Amino acid sequence: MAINRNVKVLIGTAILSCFIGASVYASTVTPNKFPLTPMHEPEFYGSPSSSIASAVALPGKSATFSTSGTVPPLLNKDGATVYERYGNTEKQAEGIMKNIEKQLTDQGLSLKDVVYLRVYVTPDAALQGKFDYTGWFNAYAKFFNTKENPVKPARSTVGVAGLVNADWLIEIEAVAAYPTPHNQD
Amino acid sequence: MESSKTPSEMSRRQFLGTVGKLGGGAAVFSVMGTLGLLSPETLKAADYEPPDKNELSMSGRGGKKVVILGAGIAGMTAAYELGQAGFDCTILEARARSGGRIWSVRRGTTVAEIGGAKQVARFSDGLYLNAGPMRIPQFHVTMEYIRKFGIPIEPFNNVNDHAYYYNENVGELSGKKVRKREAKADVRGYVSELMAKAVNQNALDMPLTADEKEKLVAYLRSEGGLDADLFYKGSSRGGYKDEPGARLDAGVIRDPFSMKAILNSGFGNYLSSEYSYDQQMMMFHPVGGIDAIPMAFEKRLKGKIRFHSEVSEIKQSEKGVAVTYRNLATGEYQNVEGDYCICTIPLPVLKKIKADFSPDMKNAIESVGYASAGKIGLQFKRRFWEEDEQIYGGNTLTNMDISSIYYPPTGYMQKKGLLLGYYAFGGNADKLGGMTFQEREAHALNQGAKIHPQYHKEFEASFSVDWKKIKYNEGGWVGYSGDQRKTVYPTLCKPDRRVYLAGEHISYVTAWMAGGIESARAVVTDISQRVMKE
Repeated sequence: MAINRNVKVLIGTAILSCFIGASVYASTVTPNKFPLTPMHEPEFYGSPSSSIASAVALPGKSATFSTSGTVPPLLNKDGATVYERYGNTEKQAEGIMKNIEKQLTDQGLSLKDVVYLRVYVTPDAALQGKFDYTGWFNAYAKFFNTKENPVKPARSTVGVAGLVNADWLIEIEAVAAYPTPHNQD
Repeated sequence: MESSKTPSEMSRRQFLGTVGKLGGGAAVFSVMGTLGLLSPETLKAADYEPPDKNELSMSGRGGKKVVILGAGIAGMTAAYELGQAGFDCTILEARARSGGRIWSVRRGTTVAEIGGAKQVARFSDGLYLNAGPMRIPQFHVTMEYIRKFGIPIEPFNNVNDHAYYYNENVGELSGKKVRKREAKADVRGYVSELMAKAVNQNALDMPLTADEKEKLVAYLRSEGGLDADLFYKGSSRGGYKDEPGARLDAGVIRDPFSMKAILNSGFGNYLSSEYSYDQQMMMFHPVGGIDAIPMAFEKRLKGKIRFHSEVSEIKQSEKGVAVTYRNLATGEYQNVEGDYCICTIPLPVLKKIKADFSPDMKNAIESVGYASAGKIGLQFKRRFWEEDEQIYGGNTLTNMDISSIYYPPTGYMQKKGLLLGYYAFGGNADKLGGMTFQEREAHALNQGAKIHPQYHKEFEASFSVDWKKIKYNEGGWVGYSGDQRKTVYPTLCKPDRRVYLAGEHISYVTAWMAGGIESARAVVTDISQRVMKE
């Protein structure tokens, strides 16, 4: 029994050290390898099948443009319901994205320059108080990861208890990077 | 079947066959050269007479519009030469840069291969990878433009006997890096020994007089470094195991490998790569990157190149050619019209573009395949190949996937260096090309480290290219198979009404910049002559 236990410990140690060895090996085998610093333009990372980037890195010389938390436009102030006044989450998000697009255009930027989105969603009383994340994702899909705008920014989507106006189901902050012209493909 | 041959011809073939079995093609080539069986190749670029500007303008035929598709060397040569003759040229180029495959990857160069992730080159300033062409034979027409445009060049060191051969699974010499001079001395030594003895013992029935046989033996003795008894016992050509030095230090010549070991190593098969027609020294390359050539053309074509212009349709009428293209910067479709069109778009790309070519031309364009080719640039913190191993330029050859390592023929003695970690063709290129760029880097480092153990420690950055997956090229160079030169090639060489094809694929100098230039100049001549007849 004692021998058996020792063998198990040995095997366990061997397996463990394999993993440790592998990770140490990966970092020390090329000790002078350059970091993957972005050069001319933001670099997006992540899976090709995902609709957002898992990470984004900006070149050192990048100037950035950050919007405030942008809230939905009022559609009909006399509307009887939230949906009539501001629309559902999807509709509100579309309104916000168009507003952000306008702000970008004023800067000589476009949605192609967006590198990061922070999104705050509140529970929708019309949907039994559930967060309508799908509504937001649908709106997003009209502006990003499309044929016209293949950019997939990094993104955080957060469910929050409430926004300043009880009618608002969503608020979005966008960060865009000013492009630097270059002649690379 | 060979009954018409005379006995003497038979015996000569047998003799060369015997040589071939012993020493590979290299030995045959060398013996044939000695016997005067090879006619000298022409060392002159094809004759070219530029169109006469005065003749064109005096006859009211000047200023014809020519739309050129592609700002590679063929398109830019055509625009330059036609411009000299007074033609009005517009080049459409999909990329933001000129040059096409003539491409120097530098710090900041970015590319996403088709279906692959984006790569960014992080090389240090001044270091570059010539991802496409990298060397120029001294007799190529390319040199004419280099002279005309005053492009500074330096030797491209294509040959270096201090570099290595390294093969795996080849018997005794497996996994052993061998300086090329060692393998060369031994292959030539043993093969010459065998032949000299065979000749001396009249073992071969040869149509040679006794005097000629003596001359042949004398040559073999000199070629192989044989002793008076016609034995190869090694020579200083293969180097020393103990270098000679001062005072009483005479050095010790290395012991040759056994004949069996050297034959099984396969090293003999590498010898001829150095003396194929277009690989012989001297070779040159522009100082600071091969893109100096397209840049020099571009400078002389100011305002004529429309970048970011991706051709979407080619349409012909009785009077001219209309080309539709998408401005990639704005997304808008635009049109440009010309009396003639020169299309230099590589065939794998052209076949996907809408065009009203004749069925014959369409079929020809679709049927032609392109070669696989791939390169990786590896930047190292230290030029260990120079510092530790005294290798200044040239290449190491191997039967591993990486095929070859080229040491930079520039910037000697500098601190950092960028070497060509592989230049692979065919199956090797496909295998490497199928990997992610991170995997290619790891593979190139792991295989290269078997030859240079300094690799991992000194490595800093890489950039790799698989030409089959590079947008707007989709192949290294044209590869006509079987009898395609007889069947579809003549169609490609003829204009399709008002559209002329040009590029390395419309030449017998395929894969070379010279092929692009020669083909463009042929089209320039054709168009100007046609205009004179209109």
